[in-house]
This record gives sequence, C-alpha cells and structure tokens, in this order.
Amino acid sequence: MTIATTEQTLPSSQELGAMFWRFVLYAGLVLLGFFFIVPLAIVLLTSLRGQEEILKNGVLALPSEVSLRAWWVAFNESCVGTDCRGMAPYFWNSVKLVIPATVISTALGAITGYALTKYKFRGSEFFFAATIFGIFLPAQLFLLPTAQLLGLLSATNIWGLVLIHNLYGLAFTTLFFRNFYVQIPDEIISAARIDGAGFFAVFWRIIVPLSPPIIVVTVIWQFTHIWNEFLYGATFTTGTDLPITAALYAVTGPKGGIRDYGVEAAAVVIAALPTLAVYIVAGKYFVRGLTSGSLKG
Amino acid sequence: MATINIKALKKSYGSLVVLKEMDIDVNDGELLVLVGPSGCGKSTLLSMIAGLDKTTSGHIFIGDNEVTRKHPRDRDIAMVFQSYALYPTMTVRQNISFGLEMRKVAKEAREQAIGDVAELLQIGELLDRKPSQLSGGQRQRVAMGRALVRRPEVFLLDEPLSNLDAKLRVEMRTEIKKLHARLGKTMIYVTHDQIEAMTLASRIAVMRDGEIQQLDVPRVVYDDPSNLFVAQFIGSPSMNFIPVRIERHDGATQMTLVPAPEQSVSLSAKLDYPQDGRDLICGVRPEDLRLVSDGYPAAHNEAVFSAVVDVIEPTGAEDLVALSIADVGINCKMRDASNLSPGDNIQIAVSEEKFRFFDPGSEMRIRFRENLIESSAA
Amino acid sequence: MNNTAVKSSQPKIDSALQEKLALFVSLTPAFIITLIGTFIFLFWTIFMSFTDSTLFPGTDLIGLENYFKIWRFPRWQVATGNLFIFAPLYIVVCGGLGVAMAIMIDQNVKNESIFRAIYLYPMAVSFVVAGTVWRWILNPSTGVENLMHGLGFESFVFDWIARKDRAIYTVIIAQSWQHAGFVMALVLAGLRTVNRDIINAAMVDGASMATIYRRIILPSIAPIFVAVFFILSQWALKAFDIILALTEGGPGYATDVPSIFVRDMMFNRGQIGMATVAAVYMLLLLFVLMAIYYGYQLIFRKRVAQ
Repeated sequence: MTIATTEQTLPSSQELGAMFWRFVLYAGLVLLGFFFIVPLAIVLLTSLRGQEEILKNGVLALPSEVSLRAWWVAFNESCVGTDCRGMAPYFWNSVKLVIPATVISTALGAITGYALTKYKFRGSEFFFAATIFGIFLPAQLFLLPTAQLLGLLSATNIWGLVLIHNLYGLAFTTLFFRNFYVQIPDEIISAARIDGAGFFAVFWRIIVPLSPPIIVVTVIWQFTHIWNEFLYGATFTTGTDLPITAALYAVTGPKGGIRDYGVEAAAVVIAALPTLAVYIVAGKYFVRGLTSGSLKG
Repeated sequence: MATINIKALKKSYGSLVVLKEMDIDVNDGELLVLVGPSGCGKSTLLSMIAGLDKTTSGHIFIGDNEVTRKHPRDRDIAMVFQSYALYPTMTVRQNISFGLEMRKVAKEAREQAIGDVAELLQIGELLDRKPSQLSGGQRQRVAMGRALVRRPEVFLLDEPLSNLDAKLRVEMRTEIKKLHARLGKTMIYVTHDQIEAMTLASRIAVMRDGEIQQLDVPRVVYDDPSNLFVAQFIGSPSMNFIPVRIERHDGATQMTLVPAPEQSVSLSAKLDYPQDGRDLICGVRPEDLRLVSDGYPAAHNEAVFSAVVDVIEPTGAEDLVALSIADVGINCKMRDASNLSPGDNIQIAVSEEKFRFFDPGSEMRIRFRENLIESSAA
Repeated sequence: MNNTAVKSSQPKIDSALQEKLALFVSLTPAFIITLIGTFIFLFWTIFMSFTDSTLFPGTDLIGLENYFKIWRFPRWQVATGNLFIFAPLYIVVCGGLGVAMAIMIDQNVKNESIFRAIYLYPMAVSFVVAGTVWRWILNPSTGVENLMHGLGFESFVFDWIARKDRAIYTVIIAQSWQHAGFVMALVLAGLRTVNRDIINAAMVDGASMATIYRRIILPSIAPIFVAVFFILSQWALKAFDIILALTEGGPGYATDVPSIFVRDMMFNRGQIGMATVAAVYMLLLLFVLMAIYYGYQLIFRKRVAQ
C-alpha cells in the first residue's frame, strides 16, 4: 500500500526570502511615491479649503469641506504688488510670452541644425560648439548686458522677454535638432540636390516632414522652460508685465496681515497647471527631451 | 553629346591624397565601370563627377561644358545610390516626380514621364506605396526610376546592386545591361565586384589607392592585364602566380620554377626572353591549365608541370581543383575531376602563349615581343 | 518618347552660388545671436568686473581690486560657503536617491510607468512652485512640525528653515525632490543599455543581484554617473529661484548663494562691479567643473582604447 505523499505547499525559505525583498521593494517604491506626490497633493487640497480652517489645522491636514472659492479669488482678485486683479493677467502674459518665444526659437533651431549637419563647411563643428556653449553658462553672467540691451530698445516688457528667450533658447533648440538631423542619411540630401532641390526646398520637402518627433520634444522643452522661468521674467519686466512665475512669487511672498493659504495654494496650482498638463499628456516626449538634451558631447 | 572628360583631377584631404592626378575620357553612350577594392577612391571619383564633392585640382567636362565648380543640379546628371536614398516620407510616385517638380515641369508632362518610367521598370503598381513598404529589389528599381525620369545626359551609379541578395543581383545586372543597350546613355558605374564589372562594362577602369591601373575593354583587361594587381583582381578564381627564373642554357631559353627548381621548361626561341637569369613572376589563369592524361597528352607548344592535388571543389558546371607545386598553391578549373583524389600526383599542361609575366619589383607586366631576328632566321 | 517636355530651362543664378547664399542667410540669425548673446555679453560682463561700477555701468577700470575686496563681505563668504556645503550634499542625496530609484524600477516592477511618472513630474513644475510648496511644508507653524504637534508629538521640532545654521539643508531637500526623478531617468536609460547576456552569465556563475549590480552593471555605466555629477553640479551652481521661493536667501542671508548675491548686488544694491565679479567667480567655478569633466572623458577614452 502506498502512502500518499503530501504536496509541498509551503514555499521554500529561498522563495520566502525573494517574496520578502519583493515586498520591501514595492513598499519602498510606494513610500517614495508618497514623498513625491504629497507636496503637490497638499497644495491641491489646500487650494480647496477655507482660510480659517487652514490656519487652525495647518497645511498638512485634510480639508473638512471643499470649495473652489480660493481658485476664483486667486485668478481674479489676488494682489500682485499693488495690482489686485488676480493672477489672470499674468497668466495671459505668460501665454503671450511662451507662444512666440517657443515658435521662433524652435524654427531657428531647426534651420540652424539643418544647415550645420547637412551642409558641412570648414568650421561648422566649431560654429555648433559655439552656439551651444551658452547652455552651460549661468544666467547671472548675462544679467547686466541683457538689462542694458533691453533698456536701449525700451523693451522692458513682454516683448523684451520674447527676445531674450529666443536669444538664450537657441542653444538648446539647435542642440536638439542637430542631434536629430545627424541621423538622417546624407545620401537622401545628395539625391535631392541632384534632383534639383535648393537649400530651402530640401528643408521643406524632405527634412521638415521627417521632423515631427523632434519638433514635439523641442516645443515641449521650450514651453516648459520658458513658462517656468523666473529670473529673467522677474528682473526684466515690471508691474503688469510680469510673467506668471514672478506673479506667483509676489502673491506667495512675504506680506503683512493674515495669509490666505488657500488662495496662495490655488495660485501655485494655476501657475503649475499648464506645464503639468503637458507633462501628463506628452510625458514620453518630455523625458526624451531630458535625456537627449543632457547627454551632449 | 554626353562625353565626360576628366583632366588632371586630384583629390586630397589635407596631406592625405585620395585620388592621384588622373585623366579619363568617357565616350558618348558608353558604360564605364570603376572597379577596385574598398578605399581605392572609386566612390570619391563618382562623387566629384556628380558634384557632391569638391575637387582639389583639375577639371571636369560633361559634353562641352566645364562643370568643375557647378552644383549637381546644373550638371544634367542623375545618380543611383547604394542605399537608394529614397525620400522616406513620400510615395513612390512623389519620389519619382520630385526631380521634375524641382525643374518646374508641367503636371501633364510629369505624369506622362512617370507613367513611361513605371512601365519601363515595371513598378506601376508600387506608385502609391511608401519606401518602407517596398522590398530591396523594388526600392532599387524605384531609385533607378527616379534617376531615369529626368532624362539626364549622364547616369551615375554607386554600387546599386551591393545591397541585394545574390540571386537578385544577377537578375538586376542583366536588367541594367539591357537598359543601357536600350537607352544608349552614358553611364558611370562603381562596383567592387569584378564580375559585375566584366559583364556590364563597355570599358573597365581598375582602380587602386587612388590611381587607375588600367582602363580598357573587358576582354583586354582580362587577357592582357597591365600589372600584377589587375591580373589578380580580375577573374575568379584569381590568376595563379609563381616566381620563375628565365635564363639561357645550352643555347635554349629555360624557365625554372623557383620553389621547385627541378621543374624546368623550355621556352620558344621566337620571343625575346631575357638571357641573363632574370627572376620574374609568371601568371596563368586557372582555366588555361589542363590535366595531362593518356587520352590527352601534352602538345608540343605546351609546358608541363608536376603537381599534387590538394582539394577538389565541384561547383556543378566545373570542378575547381586546388593543387600545389612545392608549397605554392595553384588553382585549376576542369570540366570533370572525378577521377582525381587529394594526394594524387598529376601533370598539368599549359600553352606558352598563356603565360603572363610580371616584374617582381615594380609589379608591371612584361610583354615579350616576337624576336624578329630569331624568327626571321628560322 | 517625349523628351523635350521633361527638360526645362537652366536656373538664372548659378545653383552653387544660390545654395551658398541660402546657407549663409540661414545661419546668420544663429551667428548674430551667439555672437551677441553669448560671447559679447560674456565679455562685457567680464569687462565690467574690472570696473568700479556701482549704480550704473561705468568704464573706470580698477583691475582686480574688486576680486579681492569681495571676500571681505561677510555675505559673500556665507554665500560661497553655502555653495560648498550645499552642492556636495545635494549631489550625494539627489544623485543617490535617483540611482536608488533607478535600480528599484529596473527590477521588473509592475506598473513601472506610473511610478516613473510620479517620480519625474516635479521636473515639470517651476522652481518657484517647488520652493513655495516646500516652504509651506517645512514652515514650523504650518508644516511638518505643526502636523506632528497636532498628532500629539508636542515636543517635535523641525524648524530648520528658520534656523541660520540649518536652513541651507532645507534647500537640499527641496531641490533633491525636484531633481531626483531626472537622475533616475538618466540612470535608468543607462541601465537598460546593459547587455542582458552579461547579467545572465553572472547569474549562472552564481553571483547575487547585489554583487552583479555592484561589480558589473554600475561600473559599466560609469560615464552616466559622471554626466549626472556634472549636470547636478551645474544645477547646484545655478540654483536661484528655488532658494528665493523657499527662504528668500534667509533667514538674513543664511541661505544666500552666489547666484542670488549677483542679482541682489546688481539690481537692489547698485553694486554692478561687485555683482559682475561674483558672476565671474561663478564662471570660473564652472570652468573648473568642465575641465574635470573633459579631463575624465579623455582618461576614460584612453583607458577604453587600450
């Protein structure tokens, strides 16, 4: 008579060890997730709370009631300096700034990258290096001459900022496009030249149709960069011309009286929303820009 | 008249000379093949004719026009690239019509031309596809179509078949030859494959290290090579070479094999061989060696050598037999070597007129003329 | 076949010339922008550092005088000191965190894209946003300390942000929060280029995962660590908005850094000469960094070539 053997139902100690580490891994990942998400969550939640409640319970507490009052106030009534029309006008300032600055710097970067990679001439590598040299340099080095230039042009307003961002954005956009265009086989350009296409014809008919991936990456990068930029925005505009980051700084900065954290939090969210939205929608391209932009030669 | 004249053309990058000063005259309607190993400069030469690369010095003429400084589009040429270089975002139709659009050809004329080319190359049903949807062979034909549609004076082809598999390559080779015969256009064709060169060319230019070694019709390049390099580059399996010594001995001219001094043959008195014990290199093509057997004894004008069979490689149509004489490997082509086995000692015969002699130092070919004094005295 | 309709007239201007002209025209904007915006501006700032400009830029040269004088400013001493405290710690914390996250994600994690998205989103918000948010969290009366008090830990203290000697460390927290995801993205991309076969071979040889990481995987992506080091150092040097939003450079000037010093001197205190000197010092520091980076690359390439 055979004795039925019991199946081994208990996991071995090795498997237990592996499962334990797996648990630790996920626990760690989740904890880290909290670390990163909580600050934003706090701000979001705070923006939905009433002023008195925040003062009583502090920032790190759940809302007892939800209201969108703070948002409305932040957008329409909060005070940036002496101007109490809310964040709205500054939001639109940034919009007016970001669109032309992004479009122009992207277009310039594209044509520069194209010219440098497909029409090699003596010194084209040096030209490229010189163009992207500015990426490393801290903005502080350019504060003075930029201020003087803008003063000269009487352009201490949004259009001055547009100029500046194009000036300083070209280095990045050229880098992106150049690295992308290097991968397009030169023979295609040769074939087009033999076919009779001139410089701009090749660009429009052949290069640009191949460019959507890098255009998206560049536009997202420039949009994020320029929207979030603070130093130039705060230094070279005044009063009602401030972009939204500077306005945010003013709204949440030191002031007398009782702070309305709800409104301030709402202001933060309003300022962060566009770039966050882009990140959520097109995160893949965002990451691509980060990794390719930093691993330069 | 689509002749091409290249005068004193030179190309160097700094101190690195890629093409040594050369002159080439291409006849109207001929298919000139530039052939040579990688790095010999053939593609560079083609680029310069196309205008994609600048010359360092020298002049290029297409027809009566000097085009040395001209942009490719002003040279009235078309080019087929090794990688085909089709425009990836355009359909086949757009690829082909691109060159016509750039030259402002009217829509009707364009469509007519595209239709003609599509029929010629049998790519009509591919017209609305994109390059990524085509096979290698189809892409190749589209590239040819793009070049043909503009009816240029000169066609340049840069290794157009190199990316195809062997069978397709042979098929397309024939297609190209037929196309050339039909269109009668001047073509310059670059390849590293000497069989392609031999089968396609009106004339072949064998290149090495930036220099043309020999420029002539295929038959002459094959039978009458001007130096050692051309002799071993053209022909597969390659020509056999063995060092020999030629000297006068008892009133007769003897050629002794240096690695096997016991083997010595006498040479005809009619040719002016050197008398003073010169060391030369003797070359013989594999197909000119034949097996001596009882049924086929050596003839009086044939030299006979002893060799040992190493390996037999049957290819179906013929058998390639690798022999050795002392430690020198010799390849031999026979119709049927089935009665031979490795290790056999055999005798091979070759007719004297098949010897090709080369100077060991300069590698130049030495042609021995009829010794008029001797032959008239005979 | 119809031959003539396909040919057309030759262009009027020589095509080679046309092409060169177009090339020239298209590179002109970049040329002008780079020449003026990078080089001329740079030299102007450097030139200014040799003058005694105060409220307005002047051209009275005083040579290196300000380069020495600046060190007598207590504020500058604090600013540079802060930089050398904050930068190494930030690089280690942020870099370490990023590498750890990358290794964790590399372990075939389910839903890894969600985790990655969460770790990386701080890069999408402005420095001002990050600084402001962390200011609230670290503020004793509204943030963590308050929360702990509310939960019953009355004696819990976390007022670094208000303390002169600890405030600078809060900057590390905020900036690491914002940048760790970036480090993770870079390192993860590098980890994924490592040939799986090598790892499999090591596993067959009996090595534990920890050993494999330590001795095989991480060394093979060493260039990425160097790049990360270089990028983080640059960001440490350039840190500006986040500190302003977090502490305004305070309390007092306890969290001042050279970048804030420059801006303040130039626009609030009318000390243009001094400000440009500070900026040039920043540039010099950057050059040292670049020299290290390229020096390393040269050595690395030589070693690989051998």
